[in-house]
Amino acid sequence: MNKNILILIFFSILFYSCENIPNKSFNNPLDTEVANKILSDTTISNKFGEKLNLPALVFFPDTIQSNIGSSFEIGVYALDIKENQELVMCDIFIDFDHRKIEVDSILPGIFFDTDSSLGFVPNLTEEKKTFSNNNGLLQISAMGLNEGNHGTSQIAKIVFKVNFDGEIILSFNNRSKFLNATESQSDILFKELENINTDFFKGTIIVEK
Amino acid sequence: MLKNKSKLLFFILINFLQGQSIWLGSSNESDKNLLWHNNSNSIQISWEPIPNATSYEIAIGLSESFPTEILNWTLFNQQNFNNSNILLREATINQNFFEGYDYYFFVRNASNINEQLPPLGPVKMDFISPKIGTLTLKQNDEIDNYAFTNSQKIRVECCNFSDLKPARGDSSGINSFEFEIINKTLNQSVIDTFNFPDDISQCKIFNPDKNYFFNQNDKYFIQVKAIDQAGNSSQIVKSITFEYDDIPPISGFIHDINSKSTIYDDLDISSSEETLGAYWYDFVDENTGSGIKSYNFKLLDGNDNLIHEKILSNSESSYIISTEDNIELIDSMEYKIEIFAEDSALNRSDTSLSDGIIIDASGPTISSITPNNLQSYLYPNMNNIITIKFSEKVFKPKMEDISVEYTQNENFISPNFNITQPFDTTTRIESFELELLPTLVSKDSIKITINNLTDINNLSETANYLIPVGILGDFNNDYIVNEDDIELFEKEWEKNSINADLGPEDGNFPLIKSKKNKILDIEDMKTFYKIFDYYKDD
Repeated sequence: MNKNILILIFFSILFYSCENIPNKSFNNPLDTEVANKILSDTTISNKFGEKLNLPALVFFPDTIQSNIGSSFEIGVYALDIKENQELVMCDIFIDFDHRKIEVDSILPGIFFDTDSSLGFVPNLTEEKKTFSNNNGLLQISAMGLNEGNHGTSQIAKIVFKVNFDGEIILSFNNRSKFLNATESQSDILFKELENINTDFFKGTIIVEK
Repeated sequence: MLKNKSKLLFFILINFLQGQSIWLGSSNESDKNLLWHNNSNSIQISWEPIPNATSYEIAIGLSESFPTEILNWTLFNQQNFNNSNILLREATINQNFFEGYDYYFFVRNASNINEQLPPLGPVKMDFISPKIGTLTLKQNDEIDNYAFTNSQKIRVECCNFSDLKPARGDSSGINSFEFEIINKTLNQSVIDTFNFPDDISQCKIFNPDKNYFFNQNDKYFIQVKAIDQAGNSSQIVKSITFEYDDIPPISGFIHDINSKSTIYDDLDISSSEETLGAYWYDFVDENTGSGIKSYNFKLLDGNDNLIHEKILSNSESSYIISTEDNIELIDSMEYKIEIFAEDSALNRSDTSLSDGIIIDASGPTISSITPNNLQSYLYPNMNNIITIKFSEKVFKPKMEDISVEYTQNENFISPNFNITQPFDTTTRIESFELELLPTLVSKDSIKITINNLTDINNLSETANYLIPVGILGDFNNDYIVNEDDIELFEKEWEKNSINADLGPEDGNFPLIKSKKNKILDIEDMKTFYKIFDYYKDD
């Protein structure tokens, strides 16, 4: 078959497979290059119509389809932490609809060098029950005992179990904070990073019956 | 005459070479060399046969006249000597013999008077019995004339036995001693004779051992007589009566006591370094035994060295070593007392041993404080169980007698504590446990003071002890906070352990303590971060 014909068939299939023609939404939260580009483009908004500020705390993937009784995994990412804002600690609060999903476990990511001996992200499972599913608020605390970390990387990932159908929104609570550390004469001062965008990306879980 | 003398010397020589041809006593006398006689009216002689002789003539000569005197030969046959037997060549000569004189006895063939046997003599006359001395039963060097014995062996000491010299001539001298062991209970006896051809100018011990065996609780005595060479026996000397007993007393029990003891209860601890003693009871000898004669008391130290020994009479049942004996008892040393009873027959009971008494002349002290099963440091963030051991048993201290305080930091109130065991102040203990409640100031030290620490002797002391507090965040208790502790912190967190509840902290580094907000959150991470940063260069 002619090569040009094959290319034409491929793009035709690709075109017809799309439900909607893509708009200028920011669908890949890890694409910091795009994110920075979007950051400068104040006309761009996410799928909820919100404008993006960086650095940000995001879920990835931001949309997940699942079924009742099954589990899914969603990552929590630090997005574009600046070099002059070295992150040593974070305290992340996630709101979720505890009537429909429940936390199964929290697994460490790599942002805080958890593969080295200096990273500290507790590996929590349902059996250990240091978190509660009762109030729909999940807290993840993480720390790195080095000078700090920057850039974009996964802090942790959460495994949820699905108990009910419908659309479920995961969102970061505004109590979430990123901290860096400065050393004073006799003490360490932890300073909260300002303007961390926690609202821009929410996780959406679509559960079918 | 000269010829006769030569002939006589010849016969005497024959006599020495071939043995006596004439001898005192009967024909079957075993000792043919006897030359002493003790009967002033009669003497028996015997002789060897002379070939072909059918009758014999006998003559008696005195040494003072022999051989010059003319012998009065007397034909010897049955008619002449009614009490003799010609076939046995024995003759009993009845006449007066005189003490101190030497006699010779001659025998010849009556049919041929030239056939003459060598004469017997000089036969000396000794009619005086030996003089008696003393007799003493000996069991050992200490005891004479015992009334009881546990030995089957008899030792008899005879002193000052001698043969008296007659008015004329010599005494024959003591030849033997005859011991008779008499069972008074059974009216039986055995005799043992010792040849001892000499006087006993001083003392001589004999051990008669012939065919006897003492029976338990039978009564015995020994009697002895000396016999001289002429056959004269001394008077009999008797020992005291004694009884055989070889059953030892039964041992009893010993209580350790000291000079302050009044009711003789057994003491385990004494505060006196100068006196110690014992009370003993239930030492008994059998009903028919010789009875307890004495008690042997020994004080031994912890190394079984003999410190003091005393023989005590049977009327004693307690003994305190006098201060005049200058024994020096060592503080903290355990002493034991040994006692055995000895009966009059010298049988010893088994040795009883006291259960020991420890000299405690000083007040109690804290010998060790050990936190949490031999850890070196107190946990700053958890309960601490502290085992406090004392140098000796003490009455359990009261809560108000105990204080716990920091040694470095004055900003924090003193740690709270509990006593974990049921509280009974009447009980004496060697150790007890104290629980320090969290939290403690990291890297500080705790001083534990116990007032009125009282031992059984009512010696009271105030004792204190320092113990360091570990570092908050030092989860492996190596007094360093490093990467090893991060992983342990994480594990504690994952277990939701209060041990990971580090923050927020209170105080200033390094003397900080956790405020224990009872949740694990980023405050605990902040505190750990600070601790890690503080100690990272150590």
